[in-house]
Amino acid sequence: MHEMGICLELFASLRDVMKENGITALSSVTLTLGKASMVVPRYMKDCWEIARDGTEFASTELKIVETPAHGRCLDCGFVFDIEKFDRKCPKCGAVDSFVPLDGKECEITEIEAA
Amino acid sequence: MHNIKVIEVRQSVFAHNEKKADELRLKLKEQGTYLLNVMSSPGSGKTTLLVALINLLKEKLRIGVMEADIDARVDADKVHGLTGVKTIELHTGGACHLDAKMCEEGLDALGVDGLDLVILENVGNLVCPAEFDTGSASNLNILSIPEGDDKPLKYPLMFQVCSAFVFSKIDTMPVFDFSIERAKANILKLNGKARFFPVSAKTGEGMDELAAYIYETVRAFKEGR
Repeated sequence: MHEMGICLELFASLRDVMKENGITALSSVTLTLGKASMVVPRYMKDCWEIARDGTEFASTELKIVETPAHGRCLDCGFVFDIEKFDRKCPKCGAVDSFVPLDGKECEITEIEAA
Repeated sequence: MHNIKVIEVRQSVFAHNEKKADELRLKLKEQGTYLLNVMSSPGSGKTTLLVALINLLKEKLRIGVMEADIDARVDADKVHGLTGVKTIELHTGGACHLDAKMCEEGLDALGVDGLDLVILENVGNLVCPAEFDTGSASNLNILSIPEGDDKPLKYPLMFQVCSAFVFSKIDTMPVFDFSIERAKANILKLNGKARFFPVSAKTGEGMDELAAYIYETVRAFKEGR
């Protein structure tokens, strides 16, 4: 359950972004989470609900966009969706033998001022 | 609805901490203090290993230690008692990791003036500490033989953010199915520049090589290499 620590860090980063943009309240914030980010969207939302009480984010909606994680097979070079194929190269069958290419995003991608 | 303002942002959720960490790294660089962040699972033998390592280095480097734990001060007492170097305990107050701000507060409490090397023993955990940059010059991971050589596959981020890997408790190799070659291969897949140090703090095997590596790294840092 490391999402709570990330949630509190998200608050701190959001405060910086709001300050830079001269915004005092947010109606929503969008996070982009890669499938290989090791952040579970459902837990992230639960933590957001709990942690935002009593803060300036009490009525801010958290939206999450998930992006796929791809890997390049170390044995045959094929690029595939790691989650969809359960870490097994669909071309040559090698398991857990790939270089991760993307899907590690854990980013604030959009904010909506209230 | 003309008031609604949507702003595209593209920054890490961890941006706030990363900025703080970069500031701290710069400050430490100017002061000539090398901050080594040591991370591992609970029970990997971090404290025992650090005691042995510090005793090999303390004549050559001025060392300080920060022991981060959720609670208790047994580690700080143990390290100080067995090495004599300046040690403080950092309580995270329930948090499972240390961020750059907490780390800076710890360094202020420790007093880094004149220290060449500060070792931060992070909270025993392979997940959160990997996500939060402490402002360290480098990160070192300890993987103990009983944990298994497949740990890097299960906690990939931890094995990406560290530059040196210590395989600890190698005196227990005969009773576990740990293959050093397999562990190395699993880590190299994630981290091509990884350095490896198989050691036993109990028998002393491999400790001189590890101490020499740390010493050389700190020297290079201080000479701006």
